[in-house]
Amino acid sequence: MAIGKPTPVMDAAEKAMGKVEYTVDLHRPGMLYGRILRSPHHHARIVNIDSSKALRIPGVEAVVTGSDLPRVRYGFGDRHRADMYALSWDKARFKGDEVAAVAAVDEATALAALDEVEVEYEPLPVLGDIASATAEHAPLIHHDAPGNIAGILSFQKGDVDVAFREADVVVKGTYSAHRVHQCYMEPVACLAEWGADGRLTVHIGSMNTSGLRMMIARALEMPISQVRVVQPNVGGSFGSKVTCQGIFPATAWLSKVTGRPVRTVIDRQEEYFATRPRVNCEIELRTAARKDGTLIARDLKLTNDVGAYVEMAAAMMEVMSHRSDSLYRIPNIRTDARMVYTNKSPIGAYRGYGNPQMTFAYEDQIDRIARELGMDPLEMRLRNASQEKDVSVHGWELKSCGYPEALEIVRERSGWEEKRRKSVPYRGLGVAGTIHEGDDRHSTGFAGSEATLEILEDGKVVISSGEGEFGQGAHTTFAQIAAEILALPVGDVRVRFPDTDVTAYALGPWGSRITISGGNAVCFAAEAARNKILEEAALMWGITEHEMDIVDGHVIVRGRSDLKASIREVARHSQYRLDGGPIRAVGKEEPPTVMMDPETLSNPCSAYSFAAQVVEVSVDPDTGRVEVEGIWTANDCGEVLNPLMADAQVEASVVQGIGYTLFEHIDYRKGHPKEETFLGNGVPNVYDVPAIDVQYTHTSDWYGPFGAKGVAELGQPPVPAAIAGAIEDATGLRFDKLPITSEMIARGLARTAAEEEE
Amino acid sequence: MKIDVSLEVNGSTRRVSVEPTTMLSAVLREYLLLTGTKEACGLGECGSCAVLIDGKAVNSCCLPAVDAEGSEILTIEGLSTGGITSLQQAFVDHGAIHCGFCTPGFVMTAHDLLTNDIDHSREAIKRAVEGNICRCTGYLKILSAIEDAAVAPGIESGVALHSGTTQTARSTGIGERAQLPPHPAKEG
Repeated sequence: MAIGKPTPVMDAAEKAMGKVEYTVDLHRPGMLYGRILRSPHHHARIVNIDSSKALRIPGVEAVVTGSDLPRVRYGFGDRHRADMYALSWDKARFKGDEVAAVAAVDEATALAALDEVEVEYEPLPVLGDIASATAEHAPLIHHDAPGNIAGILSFQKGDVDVAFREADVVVKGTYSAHRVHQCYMEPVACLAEWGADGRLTVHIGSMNTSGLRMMIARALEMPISQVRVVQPNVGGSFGSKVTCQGIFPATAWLSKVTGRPVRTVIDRQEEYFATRPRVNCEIELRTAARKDGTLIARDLKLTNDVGAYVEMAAAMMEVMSHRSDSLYRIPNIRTDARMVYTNKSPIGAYRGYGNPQMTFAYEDQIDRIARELGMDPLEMRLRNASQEKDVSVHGWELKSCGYPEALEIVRERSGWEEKRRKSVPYRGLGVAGTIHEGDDRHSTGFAGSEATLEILEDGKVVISSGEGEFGQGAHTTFAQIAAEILALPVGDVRVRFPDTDVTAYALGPWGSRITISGGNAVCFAAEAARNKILEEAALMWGITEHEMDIVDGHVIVRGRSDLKASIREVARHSQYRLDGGPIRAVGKEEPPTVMMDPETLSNPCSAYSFAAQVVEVSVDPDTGRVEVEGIWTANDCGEVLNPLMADAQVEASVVQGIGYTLFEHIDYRKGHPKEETFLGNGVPNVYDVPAIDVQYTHTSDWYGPFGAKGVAELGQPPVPAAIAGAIEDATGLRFDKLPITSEMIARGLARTAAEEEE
Repeated sequence: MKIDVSLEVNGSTRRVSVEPTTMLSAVLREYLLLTGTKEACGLGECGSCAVLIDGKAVNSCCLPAVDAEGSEILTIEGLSTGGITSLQQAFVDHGAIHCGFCTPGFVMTAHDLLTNDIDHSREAIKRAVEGNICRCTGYLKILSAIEDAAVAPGIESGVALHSGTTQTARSTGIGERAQLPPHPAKEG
């Protein structure tokens, strides 16, 4: 049995020995090294670019600028504003915007060439934050976005105004959340090979090969059939590596003009100031409740600072605007959301897709209502928690929901009641919960997955899926599913990496959709292949109407102990007989979901995952330093397919959440990071990890393979709110701004002490 | 101005011509195509590029290649020539490897600890890997893997432990996960 068994990632041993190749490791004969020239200005008109000096440096093979490339704007997929050029030619919209690319015989020469490309800029006023970008008469970052508003979204369900009038308790607050970087270890990189036949191959450590093929083709005005995107191993992503940054089309063009393979790898500093970190936002929120604690209404105003280009920010705004509404039973909700262009880098996805920010604000208000009513905050959550079979205010069908059980688990395991009763100075507990989408539909078109499974003549299995593995273990999950159905060892299954010439069109592993959608496709393919094996065996033996099964890699016939053949024998038989052929099957999955429509009720996800967490902290009263003493998590991800990986997904998310809440922070000055390094931005190390208790609810979902739902994005969202609650329990101070730094706490404690003296 | 350097890498002599500013990580990865050594920050902050210089873990992204002349350099490829070591296998078994990009650096750093230090307590392990960043695992599984390797018999086949090495008992407590109750997926 493969399902439910702790299984290390399939290529763990090769990884341990340093034997797998990532994009940054690729080499080709004659390969050139690419680098990107980035704007040193936050906002500036590009007057002229002179590459002649750079081209005179020995070893510099090419310099390309925006005027060399097709002058076409592209965006993230079809749903988002097409507002980017591969290389900016009209103006630079943030400090880091791509304006030119160079290719040279080695890295040092490429870097030297960057210094010699002469760009004449005419600086423009800098709109580094939401306030300056939305000020009256602010200059426009994009001429076709009045007021620097990149998009809005407003909707209402129920009657919010009436509910607030009738409420016994109303809390309101203004929250802000900051930017952090995903800090995947492998930097963004690509290797482009423009073939003599005019076809372009780009190797990108991404999680979106099909999407990148489309976006690169658009940026370079090529037919999709002329572009091939290949995905090597990926050194982490956490949602980020789906966008088409200018580096990819620009490197492709360098390969075209030089006729040589070109590899471009960006450095860690560029990662911080020029890639796609988590969105910062401002949240105004009101929540209304009756005096028995029943929630009755919510009113949200959300502003996202999306930086210089929209990228995927519209989908993110949409998700942020409505997701948290289905965690509790709330009949009346209203949202007014907007995206603002600023002269910062654009933003991207990062584990939770806006969920940690929104959960921080929403869960804070649950705590505040509980406090006003003298209720236990955990009890308050239980009273309002969504239940299995609920249809939420947006029409989300919660066919499985382990949230109430999750709250009970963390209450029990953390010793919540006793610890909350017994007040220890500067030590406290907080609780928070979250809901996350699994396989959120973002189009009215094909939103499913397709996988092909072939059983080779040696009985081993190869799965082709374009969905992709970026280090999270998707391939291992696929292998477990196939192994379970075919009754083979997991090690007999190999999963191909995505290659748009070989693997089918795929949406990619975002939105916790891989296990559900990609896994179902593998499940269907494996079941079809299993049937073919059984049919083939029946044919081989000339039997009909027999009860057959596959046990331990062998086809057996009930009641006929004389008939037994290995899958290998059966596959060989099929492959080599006349009119036979390979045992090969396609599995196609299309989720029974409806794209979210703000105006009506719809069910956009195949499944919804839930989590609850209790956090215990101690606070140093002198320095304000927070020590996270322990985190108890309970996760409803349906059936756990691979406990080893699921545990680590939760643990890692929690650690990222601790960093996000307390010390990870890209501190922007006029739109540019003050620090551009891991240490400068506070990435957690081994000393920042508390005891983490990972538990699962007893939930099984109807839709995902073997009852599974997504787990990857459950660990992070509750952490900020739970820590904020714990800090309040410890100190009496409540914070509505992330990150909650030691300095903020120390200052708050000093203020409290001063007030007490008065 | 390029300088000819002779480097002892994984037991063989490799001659390269490099700038004085070329770091060892770049020589390993781009000249010698030993890409098992990773580079994630270029500033010595994340440990992905750790290699052993005369047995001690060093961030190769901050060591000019010219300064490595005369030293014995062991990379992850060299460590793995005899097959997977018990330390590496512990990383595999504990699920301490996801994307794997930080893994060679962690392995080299932990190898240094296990072969050169006598204190293999959890605290000592944390001290040793303090300068290594991992984003995928949340560190707990890495700590358990190293702890397990430290008490495994015959650690590091082919690499002699310093004489007098003793192993301390494993610590429990902080960072230790409580036992899971049985989950329906694992029952029956």
